Amino acid sequence: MTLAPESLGRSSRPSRRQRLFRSMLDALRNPLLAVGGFLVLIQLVAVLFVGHILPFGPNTMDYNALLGAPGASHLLGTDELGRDILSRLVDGARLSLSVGLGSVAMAALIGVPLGLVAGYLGGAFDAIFMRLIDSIIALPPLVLALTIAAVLGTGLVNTTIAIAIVAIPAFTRLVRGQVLSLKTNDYVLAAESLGAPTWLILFRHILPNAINPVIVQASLAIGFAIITESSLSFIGLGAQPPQSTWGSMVQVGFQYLELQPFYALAPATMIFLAVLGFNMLGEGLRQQFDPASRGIK
Amino acid sequence: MAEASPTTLPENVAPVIAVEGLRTELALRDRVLPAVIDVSFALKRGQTLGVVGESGCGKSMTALSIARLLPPIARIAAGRLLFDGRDLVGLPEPDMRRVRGRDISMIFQEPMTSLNPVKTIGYQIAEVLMLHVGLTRRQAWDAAIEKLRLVKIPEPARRAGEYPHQLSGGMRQRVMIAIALACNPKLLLADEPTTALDVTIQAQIMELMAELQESLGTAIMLITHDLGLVAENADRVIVMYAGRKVEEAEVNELFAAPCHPYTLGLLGSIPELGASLTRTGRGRLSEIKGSVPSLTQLPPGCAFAPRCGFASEQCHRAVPPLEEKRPGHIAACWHADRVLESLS
Repeated sequence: MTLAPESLGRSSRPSRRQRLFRSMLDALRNPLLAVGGFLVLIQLVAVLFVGHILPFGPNTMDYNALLGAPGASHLLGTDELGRDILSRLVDGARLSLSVGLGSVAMAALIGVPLGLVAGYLGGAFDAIFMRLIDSIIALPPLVLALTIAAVLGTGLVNTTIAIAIVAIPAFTRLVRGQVLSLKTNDYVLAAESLGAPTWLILFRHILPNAINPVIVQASLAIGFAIITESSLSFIGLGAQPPQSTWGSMVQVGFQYLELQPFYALAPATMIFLAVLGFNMLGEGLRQQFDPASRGIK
Repeated sequence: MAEASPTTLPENVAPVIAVEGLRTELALRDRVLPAVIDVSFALKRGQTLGVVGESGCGKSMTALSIARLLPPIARIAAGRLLFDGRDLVGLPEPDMRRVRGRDISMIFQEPMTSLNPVKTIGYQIAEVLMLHVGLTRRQAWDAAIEKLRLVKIPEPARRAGEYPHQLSGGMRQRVMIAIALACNPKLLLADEPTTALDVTIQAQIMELMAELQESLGTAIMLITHDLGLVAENADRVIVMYAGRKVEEAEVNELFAAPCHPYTLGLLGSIPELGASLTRTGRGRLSEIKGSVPSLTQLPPGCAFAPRCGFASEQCHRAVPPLEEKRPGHIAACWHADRVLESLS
């Protein structure tokens, strides 16, 4: 038996590391991905590192500088209690991102398995369960989050839970749709023919093939979560004093808009940039994962 | 049931699988259609059974019934599937899962789509070993490389880390074989294993399967519409038509003396090198007129009668029983003697 024709053409195959490097370079050429990634990255850097090198803590009060103008010691000025706005902004990034990432992680961890099971099992479970999910989608997301947050009570943990509940249906529907098409693949039947149990088929064979749109959805959902958290904080349901999230800063700073415009505008800009960053990242990832929108290479 | 549809198996060896009076039905919205009707056969260790027939004749349904992997609308309505003396029909699903992949394996037609595109081939082989043999991840990986060597994939250690899209169709089917035979199953259900491959690769794959069968003693159910493949690789042959087994014999006997007009027609539609093109001497390849009747409108008598040149009034009225027409050769035809006569 001759094997020569099958083993041809292997010399030019790049190693796994080379391919990873190449695809990262490729990704940087996508402007959405590059800009979105950059915006998200600077927020993470701010949260992780900048907080430690700022001279003031977020709750350190300077009674000599109430609503102080921007200057050498307070780059963005101070608020009505003499707290450094830049410090509070960076600390707000920590809280806002925590709520954003936390709620989306929670939503994905619950929504994805539900979608997997509903799509794979089908039948009555799928029919009844998905109508339940649809009924959640039927409600305006902010109103629903507001209601849940109001029921659970104030505080960032409860806000995170409320946003997660609102974000679950998108993940469930997305994954269910993927599973419906993926489960007809021969490799699923092949896995069944090898005696693989259902959980193994779902998590090892179907999920890895459906993960790309989930990552995109997660990125977009983080933007939504940040804006929802800000909205809830703005109306007083989210962060409680002295916590400084962007939404609560806008709420208080709004009252001093003429005296100290940076108080409200700086966090508002941060919300804008954060949501923009995550949305661009999500859209860029979608393009990167979908060969059709990149053109044939 | 078993008496109604005899099967010709030497008495002395216990079969690996004995299918008795299998009936598989499709439940549609308003009615129930039979996809496999009263099919019986048995298969011994190391033997290859060819199952031939046109598309939709119930070949694949029979295999899926044995593996109990029928689509949700289909179910086994009657019959027994005696595997190692144990009836697979009614075996609880968790037990059936232990049988699948370890004792009964399948190979599918499309090697392109039967492998998971996002998993390395090494993982996909290792998985079945972790499931059934209880190897650790590392042991299973090493064993997977060994299996790749077994199916003659060059540089198996490096290939194990590659993904299916990096392999050619022939290589992928080798990987499928490696997966299917990883746990030394007693029965391999090969559903059109070479249909999607080039002819030269087909020969390599069949040769590989024969080699492995010899060393492992696996019984193979080879489902195909390619009579040439059956002639070279099968020991016994079943011909199926519209869900029924219409003929069964040793491979040489079947090709030498087909007793069913359908088998005769199938043989007549194979071009032969160097031989007179047709038995009827018309100078062109003969065909079977018409097509397989739809399951929704099976005729009351013999399902092949509307397309059959030998059909009489009796054929349209009553389904012919499976009878031994020649020693070790059974067929379901009222006019088997006339079919045999037509050969000479």
